[in-house]
Amino acid sequence: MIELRNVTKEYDLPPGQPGQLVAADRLTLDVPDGEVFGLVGPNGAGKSTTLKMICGLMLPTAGHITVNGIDVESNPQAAQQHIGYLADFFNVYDELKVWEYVDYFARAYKLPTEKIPGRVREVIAQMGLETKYDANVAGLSRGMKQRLGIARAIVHDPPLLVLDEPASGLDPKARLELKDLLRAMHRSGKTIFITSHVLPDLEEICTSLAILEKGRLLRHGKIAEVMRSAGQTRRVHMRLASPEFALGPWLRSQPNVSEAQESVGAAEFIFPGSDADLAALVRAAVFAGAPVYSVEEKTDSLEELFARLSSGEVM
Amino acid sequence: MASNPEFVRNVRSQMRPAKMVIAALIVAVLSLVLGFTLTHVSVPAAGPSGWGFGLLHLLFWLQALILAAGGGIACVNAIYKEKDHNTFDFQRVTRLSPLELALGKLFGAPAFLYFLCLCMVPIVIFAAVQGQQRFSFVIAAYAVLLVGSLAFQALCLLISLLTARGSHTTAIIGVLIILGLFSNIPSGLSYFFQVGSLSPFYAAQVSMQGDWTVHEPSAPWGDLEAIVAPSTVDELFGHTVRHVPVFLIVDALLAAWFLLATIRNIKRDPEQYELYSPLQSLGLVAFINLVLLAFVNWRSGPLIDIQAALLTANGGILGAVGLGLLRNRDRTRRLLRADKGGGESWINLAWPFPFFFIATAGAGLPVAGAATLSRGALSEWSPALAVFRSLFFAAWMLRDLQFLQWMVLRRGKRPLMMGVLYLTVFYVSVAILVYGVGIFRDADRVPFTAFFLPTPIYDLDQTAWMTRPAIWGAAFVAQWVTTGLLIYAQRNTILELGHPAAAKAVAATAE
Repeated sequence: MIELRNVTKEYDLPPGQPGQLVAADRLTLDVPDGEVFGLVGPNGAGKSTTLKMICGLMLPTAGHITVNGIDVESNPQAAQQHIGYLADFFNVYDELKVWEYVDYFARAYKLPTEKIPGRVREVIAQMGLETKYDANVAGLSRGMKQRLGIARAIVHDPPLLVLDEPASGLDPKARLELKDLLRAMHRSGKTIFITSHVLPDLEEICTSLAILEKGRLLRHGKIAEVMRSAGQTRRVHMRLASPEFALGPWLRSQPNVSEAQESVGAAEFIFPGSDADLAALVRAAVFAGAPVYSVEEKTDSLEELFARLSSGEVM
Repeated sequence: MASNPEFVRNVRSQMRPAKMVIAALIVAVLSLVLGFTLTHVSVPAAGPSGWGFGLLHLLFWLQALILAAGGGIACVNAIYKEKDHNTFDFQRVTRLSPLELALGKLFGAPAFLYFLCLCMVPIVIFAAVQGQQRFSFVIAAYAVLLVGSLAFQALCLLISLLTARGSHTTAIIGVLIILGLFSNIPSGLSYFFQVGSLSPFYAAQVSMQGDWTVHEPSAPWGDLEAIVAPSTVDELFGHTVRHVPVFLIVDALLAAWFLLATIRNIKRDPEQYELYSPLQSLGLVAFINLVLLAFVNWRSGPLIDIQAALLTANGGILGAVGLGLLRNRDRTRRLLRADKGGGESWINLAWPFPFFFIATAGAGLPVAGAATLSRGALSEWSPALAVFRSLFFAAWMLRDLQFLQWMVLRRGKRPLMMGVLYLTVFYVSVAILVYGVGIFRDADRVPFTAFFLPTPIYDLDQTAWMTRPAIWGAAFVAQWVTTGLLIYAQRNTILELGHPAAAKAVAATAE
């Protein structure tokens, strides 16, 4: 759906600082159809710039971007027909009514005139705003305005949604609703390209992700691939039914076990072996007299992974 | 227009039924009170000094104020406010064509003000009937009002597109100053140009016009009486023509030029704005020069003064066109990266010199040629010196524009504004020294001032030339040498921009 090839965007650093800021540094990325693709990175990493370049709102200094096979730079209007865009900070036209707002964008996207009223009703209902159909936009809550913004972005039924921090400023309930909405859109076959600071949310809904820092892609791909490529090792937590057995010293004597840290009646260690090796280790512990109560594998959360990557631990 | 989504949005936003009814009622009440009061005064209604005529004049003046000043401010807000509220990007990603978006804003932003004028139509008709004014003049006045306002609103829309964040108030003050200046140009024949007012306020004058007859002005061209007399006719290439059609054509063409710049840029990345393409810029310069030459009054004074007036008028338009051609760092970077090796071509490194040389020389030389043709060979007119004056003018324009281009390519906050500020300080300082303190006051020292200021060249005649030909020549060469040095400095700046690796290394070192 989206292809970025050596996309670079350079800015000047503020006066007084020499050199230039590279908001996107030769980004090369493919987002296949039907993915929910998360772009994560700290503030100033170049996420919003990348999104704006994908939407044709900003031209890259160098490189090429295609959306659904259409070159964004040479044919922006054709490419934009396939995109629904939601910016991080935006306003809506407060002086319009809810249906007028959606109707305006339906007309602006050149939907067939006879289909517009039906489509407007459908989208407003999809966003759960049907009770506000004839209400003034000015009277909507922040969460409702966000949903109205999404209604605007999807009114022309684009195959690709580009959402910049869609959850920012939303309360927990509205955030949950947004996640449900995005899942529903994903199920309906839409490709979603999303940035967010709320990494647990992204982890829940994304199928792929890219980690961006200082304009460079640190990792990208399916979430599991990214975890693997980050060199994540298997961290195992073993608990005993009673604390008498000296689990720590025993683990340290075993092959393939490292960084074993013992607490009362439990231990955590790194085990790079296979699943069969782990099963063998557990059996050996039981034979050695350890009252093994539970064994669980711990994986890094997206937040932990991001923290490790962006701090240079992996790079 | 009714199917233009942007126009419809503006109409829906501004023209809620309750608001329209209240506005219509207020105008109706005021009209009734005014009409009732005036029909009970002792002054006659008809005739040039009757109250019917006076009311008609006032109503058209008020409508011009509503549509030009009010509509202008609405258009200044039209794009700026969208950018400020982060809603403009959503319009840019829709399938609205640039033309649809621009027209929707041009007619939509002042929609409520058009409605107010519509509410005033009954009292306009009442005033025309009472004043026994022919309706052809009322219709002509409305045509002038609408086309004149449209031209001004199109300019305001373009200004709105170009207004940076934080400059909104300045933009509004600027357009009001432009409107004021534009409207205060004497409505009669000007001294050098035999064309009447092009401001929408001219509608008030048309509404009081007595007849359509085209006749020669009573006073000779250039006389004070002719300057201040109300103009109903213009001199187009020596032929007397009615001003109303000239007004409509010239203002409609101006509106089209302003609209073209808006359409070209409205959906672009703001960092990549380019007012006109080089060819379009040449077309605009040619159009303005055609208008100037069409209406210039060759008999208004010495040819040397007329050439100076034409070059001064060209200075303004070339300056505006030149500013629109300047390339910022972002555009230059893209050009250098995208051009597959051709980005560092001499045209790009010396930009806008090649194009602007054609434009300035192309504007100045026809002026010299037309002046020569208009009077034939007279003793006080030297075609060779006229050409020299035109080329000197071109050199001076190029020098300053090249300086601004170099400034724009340098890093800094608001580099263009700083460049304009430096130029202003330079010219004010030199002018004080030359004219205030009186340095180079002697006639034989005047040529030296031509090193710094363009004004002495406007007075360069045979006598002045013969006093110090070498100094005049040296001043001329100095302009080109300065331009060359500025191009060299600019080239170095562009080459630095073209090598990001070096720049990044510098940034990394700084970190």
